[in-house]
Amino acid sequence: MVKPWHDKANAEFTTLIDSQNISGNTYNLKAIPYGIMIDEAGRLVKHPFNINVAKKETIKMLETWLSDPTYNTRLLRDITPLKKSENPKVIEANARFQLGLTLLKIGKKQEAIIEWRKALELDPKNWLIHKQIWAVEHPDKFYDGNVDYGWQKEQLEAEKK
Amino acid sequence: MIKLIFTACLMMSFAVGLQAAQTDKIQILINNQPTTFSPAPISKDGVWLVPIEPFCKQLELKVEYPDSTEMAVICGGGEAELCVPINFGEDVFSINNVNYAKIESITQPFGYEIYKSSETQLEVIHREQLAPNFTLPDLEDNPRPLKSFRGKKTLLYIWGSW
Repeated sequence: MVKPWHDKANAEFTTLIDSQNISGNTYNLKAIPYGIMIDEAGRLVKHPFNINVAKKETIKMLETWLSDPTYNTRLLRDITPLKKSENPKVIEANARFQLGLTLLKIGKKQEAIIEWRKALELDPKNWLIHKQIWAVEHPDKFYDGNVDYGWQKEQLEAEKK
Repeated sequence: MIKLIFTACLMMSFAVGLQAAQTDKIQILINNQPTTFSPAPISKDGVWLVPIEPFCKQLELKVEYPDSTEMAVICGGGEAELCVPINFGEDVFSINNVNYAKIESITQPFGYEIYKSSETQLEVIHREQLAPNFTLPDLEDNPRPLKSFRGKKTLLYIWGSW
């Protein structure tokens, strides 16, 4: 599923496959795309941030990071250690999300969706869970050609009502 | 007694070699801050030795030398205080009346990792500062730990076809 996107982009970077939300769980992500900046020594220099590589300021910031060692130092001066959420609802939501992914992997789609819906009740702003449910319930809106973002907006409006 | 003499001989030969290699150009950064020591750290054949007392002071660790033993005991680590013995002749060496230790023998037990940023510069980094590691497969299904990308700046761009 991922390789066609990688090939189409003529990507020269390494692509890793995360079918079990391991990166999301490790870095407390609730939506994508997200960027995480790590320096040569393996230090986190900036907490996960909502990234848009189409924006000039994002590219400029990344170019500065690559070319100016003092920028990396400044980022390190301001960063605090990444902490896992201690909110019991978020912890339970993450556990149910993981359980659902495992159930899906072994072919128990309906059981997976039940777990994700419980997870979403606990952590309603978690867009990873939200979109996972949509993608499994409506694969035609995600995996037949382009992703149908218009349909997603309609879904959101309908759910608000 | 035989063992003690053998240890002493080893220490002397190591000390002679190290004195030849001693240099003041070596720099150690602790949590991204350049740190100077007197006397200076020593590097030989890829082994980095630091003067125990000043180095431990920088990491807020205490050093004790229990009587009648061939060891130094390093204690600290905040609330969950930890004491770690390191042995003379193995990890600790007395050179010109200064006790030096292999840097990893102090840093590793107290949650620090070492990153060699150049031939003459080492960075001592607490694990809390490191990006949490995970391992994921690449497109050829090879497991790729995040920390395998160390040595170059890495932008982790997390994306999905949603």
